[in-house]
This record gives sequence, structure tokens and C-alpha cells, in this order.
Amino acid sequence: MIKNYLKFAFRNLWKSKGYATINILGLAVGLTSFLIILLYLNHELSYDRWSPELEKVFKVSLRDADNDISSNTQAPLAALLQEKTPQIEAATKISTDVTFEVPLAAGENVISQAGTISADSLFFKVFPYKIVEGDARTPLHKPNAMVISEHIAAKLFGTENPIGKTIKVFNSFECEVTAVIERPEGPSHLDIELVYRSPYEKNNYHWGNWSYYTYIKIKNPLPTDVVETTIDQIYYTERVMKDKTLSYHEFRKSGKQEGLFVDAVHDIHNFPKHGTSNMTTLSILLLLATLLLFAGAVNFSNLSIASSLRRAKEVGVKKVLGSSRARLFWQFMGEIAMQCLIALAISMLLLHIALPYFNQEFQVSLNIFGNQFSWNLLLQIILCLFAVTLLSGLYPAFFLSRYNTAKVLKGDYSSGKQGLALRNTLIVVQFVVAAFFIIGIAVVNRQLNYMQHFDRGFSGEQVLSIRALLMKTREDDFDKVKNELLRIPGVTSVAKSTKVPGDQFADTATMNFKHEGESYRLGSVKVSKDYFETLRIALIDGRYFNDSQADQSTRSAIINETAAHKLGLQQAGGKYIAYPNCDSIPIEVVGIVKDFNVLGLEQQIQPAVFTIGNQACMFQSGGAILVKLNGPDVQKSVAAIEELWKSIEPGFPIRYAFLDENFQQLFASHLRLQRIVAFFGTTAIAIAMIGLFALTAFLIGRRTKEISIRKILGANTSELSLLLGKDFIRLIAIAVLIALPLGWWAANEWLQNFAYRIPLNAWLFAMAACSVMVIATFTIGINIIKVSRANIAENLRDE
Amino acid sequence: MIKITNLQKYYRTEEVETVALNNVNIHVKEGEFVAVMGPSGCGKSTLLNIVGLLDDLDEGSYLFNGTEVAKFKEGNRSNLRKHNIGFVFQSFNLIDELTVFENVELPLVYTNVPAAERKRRVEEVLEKVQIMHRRNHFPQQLSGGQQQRVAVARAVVNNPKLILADEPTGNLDSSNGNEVMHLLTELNEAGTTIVMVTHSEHDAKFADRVIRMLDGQVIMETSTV
Repeated sequence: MIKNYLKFAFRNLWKSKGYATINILGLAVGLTSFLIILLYLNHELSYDRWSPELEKVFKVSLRDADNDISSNTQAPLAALLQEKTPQIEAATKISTDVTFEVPLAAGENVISQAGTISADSLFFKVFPYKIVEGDARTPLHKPNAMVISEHIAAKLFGTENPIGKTIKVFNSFECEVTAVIERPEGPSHLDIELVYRSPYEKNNYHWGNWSYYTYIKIKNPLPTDVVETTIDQIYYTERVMKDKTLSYHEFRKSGKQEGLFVDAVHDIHNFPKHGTSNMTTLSILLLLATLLLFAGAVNFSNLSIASSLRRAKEVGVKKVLGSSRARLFWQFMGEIAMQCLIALAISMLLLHIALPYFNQEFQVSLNIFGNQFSWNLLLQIILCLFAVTLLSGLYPAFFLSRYNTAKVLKGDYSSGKQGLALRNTLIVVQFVVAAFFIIGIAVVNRQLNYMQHFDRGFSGEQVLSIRALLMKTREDDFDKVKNELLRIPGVTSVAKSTKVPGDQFADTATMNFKHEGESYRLGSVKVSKDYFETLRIALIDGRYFNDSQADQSTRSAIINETAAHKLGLQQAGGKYIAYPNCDSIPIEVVGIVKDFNVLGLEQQIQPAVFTIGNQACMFQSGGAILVKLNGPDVQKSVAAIEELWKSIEPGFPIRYAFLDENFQQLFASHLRLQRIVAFFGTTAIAIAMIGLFALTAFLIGRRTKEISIRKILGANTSELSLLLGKDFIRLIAIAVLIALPLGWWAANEWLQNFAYRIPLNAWLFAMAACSVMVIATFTIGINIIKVSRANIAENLRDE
Repeated sequence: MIKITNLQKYYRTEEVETVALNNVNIHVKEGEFVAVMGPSGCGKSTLLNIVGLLDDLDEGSYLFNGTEVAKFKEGNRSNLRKHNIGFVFQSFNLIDELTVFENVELPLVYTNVPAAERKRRVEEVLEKVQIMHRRNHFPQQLSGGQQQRVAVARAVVNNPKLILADEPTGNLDSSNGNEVMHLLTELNEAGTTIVMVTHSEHDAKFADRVIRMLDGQVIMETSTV
């Protein structure tokens, strides 16, 4: 019997190759996008789940009296909590930013490594990293101990045993490798490669130092709020309670917020109590993917019904020959399950092709059959397949097995208009989504295009920005460094700035400058003499900096247009400003430059004051050295700069980027959005087209006979097109009308992120509406032309 | 009016080629009432479809009112059809979603007859087939005989020169069948040429001439008058 079913199933598939292909491909596309998001979701939810011990680890953060949140905590907090809380097994403090690349040297071998942290001796009591070599019990006991990952061990020492070897950190102090850890099999919010004990630990150990993250591990699992109340109470008693009259509970009742709160470590990445996570984006993506899959399954169901019209006779005959409705039902379900299985197989193939792109886009390494394979995932996929099969199969199977035998054998395949409203609604929904995405694609593309061609007011062409690690290079030695750089062929000018155009974390702080007795909030940027010329920033009035004593010792300033506007200055010269709390040192505004954009287009250009040197009350350093290249062989110049750098900052690998590329980096997240919108948009459009195709095929298919009669009576193709198309076009028009305000709203919301943005012109929406109509007309047209060209005699030959 | 010579028609599937009509020669004069008879599968319906320009012929010549139409494109055929030929089918082929009036009106819509004129002509023909009182009903609300009268009304509303009827009484009881045959006879007497495919010897007696077919060939022609 099963063999018979399979045989039937394959024959039927083969007989309606066209429908089956569209059917299966549509579903496969929906499944693929859903599976990608499913994989990504699994990945995100696996953060900090790599050991059951992590269930007992919490991160401690602070809320101050002003209700400001700080995840940086005081140096002695960990020790205090451990001492006073019996439930705590261990507490540790760590410092530094895991994304910062720290120079590490083992002999001649120098690398820059992210994931480097300093911690106290209890770090490995809290975090259950697996130590594979060296001292597993007290790895960080020695004051200069260091624990490295296998990856670093291989990078610095090759195949040699790293235990007992020394590594020089920041080119300033040495640590001894005491143990090697295995990288955990799962992602972690702390991506750690190396842990060392800081030599400055003792000096830094006081309540005034807020540079540490505090983590605690409790002895037995407890709910987060219990842990929180327990330590918060201790913190209140030990640190906050100044007025001894208020008990902890009275203090809390009084509405005061100051105190500690905790995040379970496995919630930090996805559900932090404060701050942002990927979860919102991910939820939206999941919703979209589910919608696409749902739409795919519904289309599948519609297409199955459409193609089943031809099988009505089979049903009739089988029923006459004694097949029960249930048996027919299962036969059809089986066929659909088989098609779903084929769709799944195809989607696996698509997944294999698409995943590398997705991984690159989201900086992850998802795969389905490699090391990340899990029974859990397989179960999810099977469940998904089951749901899709039910969703796609139930209705058609009922529909088919319900055909009235006598009617069918007489040639009447129509079965009224049941479910038509539902199907129409689904088509409208699909096209609302498709039209929404078309608007999205148009708006995002135009805004990005606008951003790429926006006049930034400076030229970053062939300007190299070099990160100097040592302050000496940027300050005391700058003139020497500059002269050495200028000696390299191809280098035309050298300047420095504390605010580098295109930097992701550029300093945006402003301060109260004084001007004629009034306060003005302006940004301060320290530059060197040739800064404006190097970046080709245009002068509006006055002059650029020169070598004069006043200019070189922070007695002259150049301001930008926005600042001039704010200060009410029309011309440069003869006007003075002063740094905050520094009225005694007046600084003359000697030039006004045209506004230029250093922060990308999200923010308005800030009013800025440019000065040279740190002589006037305010010390600023950081930023980068900018080198303008203009020669026939840029690569050769860059190689020479790299070589020179070895003598300028020995022991520190040079880190540089071209300013244009740097600026481009600012667009990275928008470019990613553009690709996501394009991907989901294309999929949504494809699925909507398949859906419309299925519905028109079905409804027009049911009207084949009517169409033939009309043709006999003299209807031509255009009359038939109008007759058949107008209902569908009406549906699509409704969808467009719903999508337009939605799209306008979403586009407007998104554009609010940009200080410089495109206007939302009506024609943009008109164009989007037209494209939807064209796509829909094309899809409907295929079916209409097919049916209106069919042989009339053939269609009426059921008598 | 119709002159078909050496007509060949094949049906092809992937492996087999079946001869549906073989060397058929037919001549129908204007105003004639011709019945085509023969067992199932003898090719009579195929012949009628070719005469009605619903199907192609593979070889041979077809002169309609002196014009060679065998190689006509669909557009020309459609044009010729809607102005000259009316069809009546065994299963009536009315459109379920349209009322009696709208069904009959349809050929006039497709020949761009103005609305007022359409109304007049539809009402006139509905009177003639005595179905005027059900003009706003839908086909499913009518008996088989009534449905076929509507179909006849629709076939003649455009005043075609030729009516093609494919077993017009096949789905009707004898009294309803007789009504339809009388209607056709009246039309013929008024000058319309009629070609009718039938199984019924009784119906064939209404015709002036009977063409008998077997296995795709005309085997006999008899005159009933």
C-alpha cells in the first residue's frame, strides 16, 4: 500500500511539474530564511551557557543616588561582598575592555590581542574555564601570574610548552604563564583569551576607583532577585547607610534607588537589565521569518488546491471504488509531507550557500552540520517541518477528500466560495509586507546613496590615520615624528587631531566656553598646525594656524561655522573666547572654517573650537596622527611608514587606517540594514508573487469553462484580462493603500536617526506603489494569458 | 454557406496519432437544417467544433460564405464567430454567476451593441423563448428545459446566420426536448442555418437532411424531406 502511495505521489508530482516546482521552491525559500534565523537565535541563546556552573554566576552593577546606572564598580566591592555574604562562594573583579587590542610580546614575537583582561586571584573560582595545562588549582595566585588560551599559546610559543614562560604586556611589565585554558564551547559575553594579574593592583585598590566589573558566584542556585536583595542589603549597610535611623527596608520603601543590582551572566548578552541587546532586532527578524514561512506554507496550500482541480476525477473514481475519505485524506497528506521533505532538502542546500554570507554579515560562525550540530536543533527542524506540513497540507487534504463524488464525475469541480475571504486576506497581507519592503528598500537605498555622496567638507582621500599608542609620540615627540614622516617620499603633510573623522567612538563631549561674559557649549579639539590643510578644509574668514608663538601655545583658536554662528561671530580676529574656569587666558579666534562632518550623518555638526597644544587649562590627548600621501606609489610610502614606526614606537605594532575607509566604517551598520532589508524584501516579494500566482491559478482555473463560453460568445483577450484581473488588482490596490502609511511611518522613524537625511517625497511612494502593481499584474497576467489562449474545444469537452 | 473539402483531423498524444476525421466533405446551404448522427466517438462533435471555428483542422479546406477560413488566426476566427455563429450545447454552458438576462446579453456586449439596444433585443428574444418571467433568475434556479431555452436565446440574440447545436436535447426529458426542437425549427423557418449533432432519431426528423458518420468518416447522407 505504502509503495502504491509513493508511486502515486511521484507520478502526480511529475504530472504537475510546474506547480510542484513553484510549490516546493517557495516553501524552501521560506524555510531557509526561517532556519537561518532559528540558527542565529539558538546561537544567541547559547551565550554563557557553556557550563552548568555559570547558572550560579552573576554580574554586579550599581545604581547611584541620581539613578544613573554603572556597570563599573569600586575596586574593593568584590572582596566586601565575599566577606559579608555567606551564600557567596567567590567574588572577583576584572578590568579593561575586552575589545581593546593589547600589545603582547614573547621575545621577538609581538602581537596585538583583543580579549585581554586583568583580574584578581579569584577569577577562576568564579568562571569555570577548563584549565588544560599548568596550575589548575591556583592559577592566578602569584602576583605576576598570567593564564592564556590555547590559541594564544600557539600564536606566541608555537608547539613549545608555555608554562613558566614570560609575556611582556603593554611593553611595560612581564607576567609569567601559569596555566593554559581551553576556549569554552559556546559564545560568552566576555570573550577572553588572556587573564593576568596587574602589577598596579595594590595601588588601585580603594573605594575611589570605579574601574572594575564585579562578578560573584553563589554556592547554591538561587533566584536572581534573592541574590540581588541579599547583596544590596549588605551594600546598604556597609556603604550607603549614613543616617543610621533608616533600616534597609525603610530606605527601599522611601523610594530611593541607590544600591546594587545583579544580572545572571547568561542573561547579560540577551536580556540585560539595562543597556541594549540584539534581542529586539532578533525578535523582529524572527517575526519576519515566521511570517515568510507562514506565507510560504499558505501559498503551498493554495497551490496544492489549485493543482488539485485536475485530480477531482481521481478522487471521484477512488471513492466510487470504495476508498474511504480518511484514506484519501492520508494519501494527500502523505504527498504533501513528501513535498515538504523535498523543500526541506532544498532549503538545506540553500542554507549551505547562504550561511557564509550571513556569518560574515553578523560576525558569527553558524553552521548546521559541523560542530554546532545538536539533537536539540534537529528536533526543532523536525517540529518545524511537521508544523509546515500540517499548515500546508490540512486544508488541501480536506478539500480534496471532500469532493462530491457524483458531482465530480459529472464534471462539476467547483466547490463554492468557501475560504475565499480568508485566502484574499492572506494575499493582501502578503502584499502589504512586500509593498512595505519595496518602500523600505527604496528609502534605505536613497538615504545611503545620499550619505555616500554627501559633501563632508573635508577630503580624506589618501589620508592615513595612525593610532599612536604612546602619549609621548603624540605630544612631546610629535614634531620629531612629523619631520621623520615628512622625509618619506610621497608624504605631503602630517597633522594630528584628538577627534578623527570617521572614528566610531569619537569624543563628542562639549564644554562651557566663555565669550564676552556668556557661556557657550562648544566642543574642544586639539590639532596641529597643518590639520586644516591636510584635510583640505576650506577657510571662510581669517587665517589658518601658523608657527607664531600665540598659535603654538593655545592663545589662538580656529572655530567652525556652527560655532561662529552660535557665538554670533561674523568675522575672525579681535574676538576672544576662554576655556571653562580659565578666564585668565583669553584665546583669540583667528579663523573660521567651513563646517565639516566628522561624526557621520546621524548627528548635526557640533560647534567646535580648534586649538594647538595643551597650555590653556585643559589637557586633551588621544586621537591619531594624520598623514597625507600623494605620490605615484602609495604602497611604497605606507611600507616606509611601517618601517619608520618600528623606531618611533618600538615594541608596538603600527595600527593605521585610511580615513575614507574609516568614514565608510560609520556606514557599516546601515549597509548591513540595507542588505537585510534587501534580502527579506526579495524573499517577501517572491513569496507574495508565488501566493498571488497560486490564488489566480486556482480561481482562474475554476473559471476555465466560463472563460471558454465567453470566448465562444466573442470575448477577446483584453476583455478577458479585465474580467479576470480586476478582482485581484483590487486586492493588490488595497494592500498598497495599507502599506503606504505603514511604510511612510517606518521610513520616517528610521530617518530620524540621521541629522542629514533625504526628504520623503511622494514620488518615492508612487514609484513603490507602481512597482508593486507591475509585479502583481505580471504575476496575474501569466495565468490570464495561459487560460485565454487555451483550446476552447478542449475545455468544453466534458460532455 | 459551409463548404468543407477533404478535411483531416488528428489527435496526437506522445506515442499515438489517432485520426479523428478522415477525408470529410460536407456542404451546407444557407437556410438548411442539417443533423449529424453517429455513435459516440465517431467524430461528430469534433466536426461541429471545426465548423464552429473552435478547433483547428489539420488538412483540407473550409469555405465559410465563400471565404477560406481554415488558416484563420484566433483573432479573425473570434470575430467571424461572434458575428455569424450561435452555439447551443448539451450541458447548456450558461455562466452560473450571471442572471438569465446577463447570460443572453453577453454576445451583444462583446459585439459592442449599445446598452439600450441590448436591452430591447434581449427582452425580445426572451419573450420569443418564453422565459421573460425568469429574466432575473440564476441558471441554477431554472429547470433543464428552461436553461436550454436560455441557451438558445443566447445563441440567437445576435441574429447569427448559423446555429451549431451539440445534442441540444441530450440532457432534457422528452417534453422539454420537444420544446427546444420546435424553437430551433422556428428559427430555421425564419431563415437561420442550423447544424445539429444528435443521437436521437426523433430529433433528426426535424432536420432537412441527415449526415451519418462512423469512425471519422461520412458514410451516408439522407434527406428527410
